Amino acid sequence: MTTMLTVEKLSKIFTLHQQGGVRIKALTDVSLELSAGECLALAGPSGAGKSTLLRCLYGNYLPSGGKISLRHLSEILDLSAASPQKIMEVRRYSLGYVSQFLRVIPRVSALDIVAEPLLETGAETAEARQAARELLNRLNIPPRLWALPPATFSGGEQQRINLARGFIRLRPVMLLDEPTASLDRANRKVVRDLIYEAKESGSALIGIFHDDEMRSLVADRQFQMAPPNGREKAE
Amino acid sequence: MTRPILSARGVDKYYGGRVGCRGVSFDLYPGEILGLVGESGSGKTTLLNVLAGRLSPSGGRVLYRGPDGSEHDLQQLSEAGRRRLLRTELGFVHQRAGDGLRPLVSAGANIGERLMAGGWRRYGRIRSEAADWLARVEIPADRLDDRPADYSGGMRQRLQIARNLVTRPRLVFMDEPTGGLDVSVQARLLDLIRHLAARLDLAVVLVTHDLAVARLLSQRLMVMKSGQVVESGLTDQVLDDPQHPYSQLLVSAMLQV
Amino acid sequence: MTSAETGYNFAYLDEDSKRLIRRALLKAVAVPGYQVPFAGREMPMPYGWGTGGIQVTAALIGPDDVLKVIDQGSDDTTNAVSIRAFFSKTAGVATTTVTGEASIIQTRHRIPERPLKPGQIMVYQVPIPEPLRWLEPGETETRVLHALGEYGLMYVKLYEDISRHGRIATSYDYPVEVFGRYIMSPSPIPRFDNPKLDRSPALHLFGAGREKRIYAVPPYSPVRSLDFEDYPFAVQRWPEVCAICGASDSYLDEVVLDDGGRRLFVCSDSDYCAGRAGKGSPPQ
Repeated sequence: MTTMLTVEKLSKIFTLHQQGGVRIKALTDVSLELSAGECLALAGPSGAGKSTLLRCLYGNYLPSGGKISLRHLSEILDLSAASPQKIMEVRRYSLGYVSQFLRVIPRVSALDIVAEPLLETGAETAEARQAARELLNRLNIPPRLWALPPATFSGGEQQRINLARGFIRLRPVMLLDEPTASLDRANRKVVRDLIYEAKESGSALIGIFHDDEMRSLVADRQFQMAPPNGREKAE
Repeated sequence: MTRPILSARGVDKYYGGRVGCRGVSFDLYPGEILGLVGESGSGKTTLLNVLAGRLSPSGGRVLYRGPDGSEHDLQQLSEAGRRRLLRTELGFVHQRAGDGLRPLVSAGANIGERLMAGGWRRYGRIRSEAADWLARVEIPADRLDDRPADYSGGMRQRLQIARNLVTRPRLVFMDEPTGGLDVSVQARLLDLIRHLAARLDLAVVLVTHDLAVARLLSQRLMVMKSGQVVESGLTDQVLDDPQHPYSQLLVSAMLQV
Repeated sequence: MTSAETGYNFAYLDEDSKRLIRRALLKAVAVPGYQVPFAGREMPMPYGWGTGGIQVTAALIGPDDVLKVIDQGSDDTTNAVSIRAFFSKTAGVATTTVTGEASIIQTRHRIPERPLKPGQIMVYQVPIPEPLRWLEPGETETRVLHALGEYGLMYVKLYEDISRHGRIATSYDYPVEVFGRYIMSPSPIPRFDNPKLDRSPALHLFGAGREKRIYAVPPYSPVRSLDFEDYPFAVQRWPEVCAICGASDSYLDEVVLDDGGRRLFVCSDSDYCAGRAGKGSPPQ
């Protein structure tokens, strides 16, 4: 299988200048590889750095050391050394991030929030909205909500809006940050199917799943993580 | 990759012995929104004015690249050339709408001014273009002949934006465009700017002290302190994983965004 | 010819001041439509009564000149009579009310109806010389706008006129472009008179006393009134003719006759009207 993502000796240390320069080791020497069409589950206790790893992979956190190589269009790109412009391009075409937290944009309807990733890559408005409608339907968001900005929606509804936004355009590498947390059975099934479809289409997925049943259903492999040896004081 | 629309190289601005901004270098690409954040007095508005050619730098260069690929140093240009650029391919949105509008004439005349300056001489066309832009900034058509003084604060700011965008600029400088507006009015304006920028493929340099505004509008962020850029990067990276002590202070001081 | 008062220099102003004004006039003629600053002198009358025009006339006038002064087109209004008397006394020059006989015509508000001849000089009393002032309060900025020929603002004013009144309602001081370059305020003449400036054989000099500016339209200069393609410049027209001389081609003043609202229209140019009436063209 084609290797889509290679992580070599990745480390992440947070330096908290507000707290006297305390340094918190969040990741130490993490290495992994991910191939097209597979789903890797990150496992480990809370504080093991699962979310931190995903955020580093997405370019949201700056790695403190190591290397992240990602297949982007026809090249292998060192993500840890890429310019912001390059990371934006990568996010548009090659790298998706699905989380449960929706960042609400004032006045933008649920439908348009979901359709946006398609529009960003040049889809026609009508076509993008149609795809958004289908996905919202699958995730059991009642049509009466589609035209409304989701600011006033329930937590569960907002979460599903964000899932729809994350899955509307499958990217070659998808990062899933607890996509099924607090979903009901019916919607968990929908997300499971979405992940199956992503794998079938050749996407490589790497995710955090709190729900054991879901993890065993979708994950091909597990990557065990443990908390690094805690804090160290700056000298 | 496309070439930058705006490049700053080692830009300094001193007011006598006082530092306005120092050693600022960056590239801005077409269609990109760059946020300049920092507290009052950090030099972000000074930098914005230098970038827009409204202040001359004490050192360094600012290059604007036109649609034909030609490079213009705003300071080297003749006054006539600089002004022509500022009213065609560039725009400037002031924090106080009144600074960017003509108070004595109607909204239509305010929007039409750039067109008339560019040689439009058919009243009917100028008027219909002005009406079209009024609609784009969500102001009812029957307000076309009203003066800015008869507008609410939010409408005035939208009018200022229309007045700038009517010539389809490629690069717009914005100085705290939502400052001083009610939260609900702000939300509408932010959404409008977001939409127009995307639809018109505008590059924007946006000065704001409001990190929530920066998060919503800009793809990239530069954090300024005491006239210098202390940190820059993708907006979400700078806000979620700030590196510099000052950026961390700024982020920790804000309400959740 | 009346004899001049003693105790004053010829034409009131001292010779040094006249030379200063003449230099400004030469520059103004050399750069048509450009406002030349000059060190205006205090005159024995308040601003607004034609101090700018009087200084220009004083700097130009010689013993052989024949002066005509009109105010609102008329030779016998207070202002016209006073200024004529002023120059009779201080320069002892001949005065006239007949347009064709005058070598210098100082005016407020009008250009005479009878076509001007080569060699004649019109002197205008200008209240506000800056046509852009209405929209741009800053003098530094208006100077830059003139220097760069950036005249979009002037059209903003015309645009505003049309949107408020459905047509270009500016009836006085209607902005013109001189020699395809500078935009100029023709002072408070009615726009009816604007076409008379275009390629006029006479020299037109404008003096603003309060603002201390002088500008000029040299003989035969092209002078274009600004307009929009779909709202072309047009002069005022009246359905009536002059009640005295029957003229249908002159600028008419409306005269209210009684409280009942009866009114009639007469020529604003009193010399033109008297000339026609004398020739015996009867009212219709």
